[in-house]
Amino acid sequence: MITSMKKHRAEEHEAFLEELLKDKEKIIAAIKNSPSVIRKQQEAIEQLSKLKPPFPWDKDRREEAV
Amino acid sequence: MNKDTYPFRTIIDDFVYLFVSEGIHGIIDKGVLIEAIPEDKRYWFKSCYNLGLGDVTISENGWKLDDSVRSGNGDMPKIIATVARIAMDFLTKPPNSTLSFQGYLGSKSARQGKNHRNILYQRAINSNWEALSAEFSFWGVNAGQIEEYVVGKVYDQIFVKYR
Repeated sequence: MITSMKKHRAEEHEAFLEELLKDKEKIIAAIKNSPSVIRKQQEAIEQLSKLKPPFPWDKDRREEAV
Repeated sequence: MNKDTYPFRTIIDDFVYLFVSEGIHGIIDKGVLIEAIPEDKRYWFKSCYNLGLGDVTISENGWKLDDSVRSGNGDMPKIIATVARIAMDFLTKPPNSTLSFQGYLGSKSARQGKNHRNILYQRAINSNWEALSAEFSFWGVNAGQIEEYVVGKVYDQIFVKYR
């Protein structure tokens, strides 16, 4: 019983995602141009600009390059 | 990480991930977008990506990703675990990439001086620290200073990279 309910839910989820992905390019463009995404990118740039380089993850990269 | 997560679909070339949340308010489409932070010659944000989570909603202007929605679907731990799984999936792909994430700071969070989504992200990291830290390096930002991630400490922003 529980297994068949889970299966039914999984199918429902899949149907929702399929519906959403029908117009994939449009969805991607819309998501990328969402005001919240643009704001978040801007915030990320500002936050990173406030931090002093070198960043610790760059140190990891330098060590890998040696 | 052995937490319960939602299955997700990936639009791989664009790093768009979609999944469906199911809870007390029914079914809600969720999206995660991981975008490269544009490089700045002064600061050299090389291979640094930003993660955004939100509801995929339709408005009169079409589809959008809205991170300000508090859906209250009663499944936040599962959503956060799914986002963590997505982040892990992403970090194994572009070589040497670093992922930055910071939860949406709504007016309620701002009033309380707490970023509730960051707290949830950190809870997920802290409760799976042993497994996650074996595979990933974490850093936290506190008052403009980056440091190696310390379990239990609250950060404004978190960075993670595949070891």
